[in-house]
Amino acid sequence: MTTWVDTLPMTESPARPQQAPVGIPARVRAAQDGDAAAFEAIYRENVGRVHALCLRMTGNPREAEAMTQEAFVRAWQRLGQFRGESALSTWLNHVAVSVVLTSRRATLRRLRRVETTDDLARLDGPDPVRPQPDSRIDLERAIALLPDGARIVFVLFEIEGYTHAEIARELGIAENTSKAQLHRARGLLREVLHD
Amino acid sequence: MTDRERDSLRERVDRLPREVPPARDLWPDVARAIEASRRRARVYRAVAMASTLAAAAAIALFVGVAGRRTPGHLAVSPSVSTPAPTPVVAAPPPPLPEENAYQGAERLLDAELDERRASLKPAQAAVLDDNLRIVDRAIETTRAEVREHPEDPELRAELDRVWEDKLDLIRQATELYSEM
Repeated sequence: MTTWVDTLPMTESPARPQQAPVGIPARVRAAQDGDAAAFEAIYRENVGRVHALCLRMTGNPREAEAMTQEAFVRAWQRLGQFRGESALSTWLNHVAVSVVLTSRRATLRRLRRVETTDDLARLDGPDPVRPQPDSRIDLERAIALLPDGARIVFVLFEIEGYTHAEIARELGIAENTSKAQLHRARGLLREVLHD
Repeated sequence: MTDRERDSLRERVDRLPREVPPARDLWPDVARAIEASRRRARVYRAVAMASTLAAAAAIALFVGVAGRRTPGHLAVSPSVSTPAPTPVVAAPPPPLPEENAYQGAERLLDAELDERRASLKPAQAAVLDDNLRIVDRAIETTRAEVREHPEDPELRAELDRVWEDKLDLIRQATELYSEM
């Protein structure tokens, strides 16, 4: 079965330069053949990057660990689909994004059943509690404090280099909503970050 | 947000570390989950093969019946549908308590099928028996995995499914031959 991970085009971005076809490294081939030790090496090499992505997308260390774990299990199950058309790290990032978004959709469905609301923006909740104007806050913490929707769009656009069209497709929202969430995220970050 | 503010934010984003290792080593949990996933894949393969062959056997038996009813039709050759039997190297694990109900149903259906066996051509009986053996092997594979990992609900569900496949196969064979 083809998933969005296999069809998503690589996009150019400052954070994620487009990769030339790199072929399949021997270690990946070994893992594709079922070599768990080879996959462990892949895990060790990539876990920091995948965890960083999950942590920034969820804003929650505990959830980030669970998502990272799930991303590697999913990667193992789908490794046969990796054709070497992008770097393995790029492919793993796509798997992790898919895992986080799938989990988020499941959470939204659960909340929808309980809350019965047609305004999903409400599920983002109010803007987070902001630090006092004189306090200093690092960007990482500020991103974690963003409302769910704004944070995911910010991380995907600014850090992972997705386009608004890609974000819109993955989140099931309009491109303009993605742009609005990015604008909201930047505005909130500007307020809490003091140079 | 002004261009200057946006550039400043962009610079800060670019300075973010590419890697943030988790607070603990997640590999043991990942390895456990992968092993569970492999286990299930083994069972799914065995069950999928058994289900496919059981369905094929039912069709083969049906075509065989039609062939008997309408002279000139091609009867199904067992060599087409039956793979070579695999030698059994170890005694199968004993059934689990939750298989009792299935075994009871199987005994009843088997008794009914045995009464009709005489009307089966040897080739048709061979198709049925070979496929029942394949389903039995799938049951044994799944049962062994359930014994080893009783905490895995998906494996238990798979055991239910493969038993239902077996009972369906016997039921279909019995019904087809009771029409004759």
